[in-house]
Amino acid sequence: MDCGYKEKTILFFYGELPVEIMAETGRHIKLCPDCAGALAVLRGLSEQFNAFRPRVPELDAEALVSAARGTPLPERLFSGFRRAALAGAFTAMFLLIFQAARPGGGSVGWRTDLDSRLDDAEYSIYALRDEMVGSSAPDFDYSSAEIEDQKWRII
Amino acid sequence: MRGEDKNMESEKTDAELVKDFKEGVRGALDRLIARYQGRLYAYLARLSGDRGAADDLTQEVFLKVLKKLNSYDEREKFSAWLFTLAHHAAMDRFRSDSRRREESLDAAGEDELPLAGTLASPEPGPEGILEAEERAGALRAAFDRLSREQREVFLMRHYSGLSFREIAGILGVPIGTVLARMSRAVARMRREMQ
Repeated sequence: MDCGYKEKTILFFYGELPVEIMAETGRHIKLCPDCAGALAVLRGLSEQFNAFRPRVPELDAEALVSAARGTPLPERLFSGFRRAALAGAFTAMFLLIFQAARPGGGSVGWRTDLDSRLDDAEYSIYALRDEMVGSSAPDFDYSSAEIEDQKWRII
Repeated sequence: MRGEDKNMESEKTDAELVKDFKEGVRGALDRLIARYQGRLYAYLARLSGDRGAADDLTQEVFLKVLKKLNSYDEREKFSAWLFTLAHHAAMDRFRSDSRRREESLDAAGEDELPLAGTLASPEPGPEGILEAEERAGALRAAFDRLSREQREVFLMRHYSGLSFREIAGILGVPIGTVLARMSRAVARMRREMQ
């Protein structure tokens, strides 16, 4: 039968009961064989724990600090935020390479052969501008149209 | 003067010692270790039932303390934080090596608890000593047969000095569960000793 004081007896033993219930619980324990038996078990265990004094291994604080700092370099470099950043960078690099390697795909800017040919066209535009000073309007229109054609053929 | 300094140092709170250590004060960590090493080791040894495991775990817990010290909030009780780390380290160990969980301290002769006299009456005669030893032995055996969860509550309450409410926080269960575990464990030990 539950007397309703089982948990209170435990709290009583460890001094965690509110003061106003402490005395009442103490009186109950004196009259209740179950709770008195529980208290005896708690006392017996507590005495055994107090008597248990094992030889504690020596811990050297400096050695512990060294060990704590002695994490392998790759683990230190690539942990936490750094690991996430590195993963992001690798992903981005992979996507760019994948995009550039796709046959016929992606932006023309990544097709390096087109880059050089577009550079040629751009150079021609600069050259044409230089020629503008000493040339007539029809000459300019002709050259300009030719360069435009060249550009669109490349793209 | 030196003695006074020593006394002042030994009276420093855990949070002050942690702060000192972070600021590079020599000896702060030694004091912190000295303050908790014995209790932590006893808790881990009784919980694991294996001194070798307790040796490793004690070192592992203090290493974790050092590695995670920057995340330690000095408003939090250091003992609660330390025993949280110890609880998790022990659980990880038990999970990875379930065999060790079942080992008993009884296996090693030198690990025997010094039982004689611990439950003796004030003036025991030879029969009284024998009876006390038998009772203590029965109690220890009954305790060792409890589930790990039940044993842990007793051990943590005793060695950490934390309240049941704080222990409930560490174990991640309601305080009612902690007290119910204790209550059931006490009832079981009483039955086994009768």
